[in-house]
Amino acid sequence: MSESLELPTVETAGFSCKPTSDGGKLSIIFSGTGDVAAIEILGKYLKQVHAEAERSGLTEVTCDFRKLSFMNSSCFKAFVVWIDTVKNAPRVYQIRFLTDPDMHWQRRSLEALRRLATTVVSVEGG
Amino acid sequence: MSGDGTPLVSLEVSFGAAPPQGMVTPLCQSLLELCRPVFEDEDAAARLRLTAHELLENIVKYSADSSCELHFELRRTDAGPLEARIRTRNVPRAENRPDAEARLAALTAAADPLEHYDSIIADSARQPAGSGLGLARIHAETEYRLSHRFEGDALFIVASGEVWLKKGALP
Repeated sequence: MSESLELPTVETAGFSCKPTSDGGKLSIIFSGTGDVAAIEILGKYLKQVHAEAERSGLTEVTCDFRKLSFMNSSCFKAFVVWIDTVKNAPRVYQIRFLTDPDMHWQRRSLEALRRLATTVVSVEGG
Repeated sequence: MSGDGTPLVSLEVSFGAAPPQGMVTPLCQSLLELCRPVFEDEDAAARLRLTAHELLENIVKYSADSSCELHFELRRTDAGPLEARIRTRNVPRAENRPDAEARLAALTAAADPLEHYDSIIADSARQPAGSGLGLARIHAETEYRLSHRFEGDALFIVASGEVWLKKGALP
């Protein structure tokens, strides 16, 4: 993680978010299972991501889902709220999802997130 | 689809009260592992898992303090594929019942599940809880058919979809 990035790694039983930064871009690796135990942590974390994106003037945030085996609708909703916030922010940045084509739920769920904000969200690897 | 006769596979999990949240993922993961070796494709197992997970989490979140159950079965049909069916039974908290009824009715009446899903997603962005996102997700992402009925205070939700088995996977 770069020195300028003010975003921690968070971990709970079976779920983690690990950030890395490269210039004006931030990547976060999501791992494990996004279930009920992860909801509160994830909601708070995505608010932190947005605050960091605004503070640092980020142009892009990449969410790497390739190690995320499942996400329930409450965790999905945390991303909906975040994307809606970004879509309506004064300065919009891009949100890019990296997926594992073998995890079939990712293609369907993330495509729904892309439809929510087609100019903000892109999905790769599905 | 006939769905009559003895199921090829049947599994029922009953709870004396709403199960703890921590049981949802292991239970649904077990269902995934149970079906994975016999389903023809991994996607079918993933859709089943998502369906079971969302239905079971709804039970955890919205049940009154009384018994509930999750029932899974695989049945032969008159056509080629099998029918995978998940049925849940629980007693929703009284204050949640009108909302549950309205959401389920809107969901099953929606002509286009994807359009309905997109609308629920957009609405849920500014709604604190109880948006019906989980059920809409099942309907749109898994293509399972959803139906529901109340018997007294008990709510039954049935989700069913077609699956193909690997050749020779089951007798």
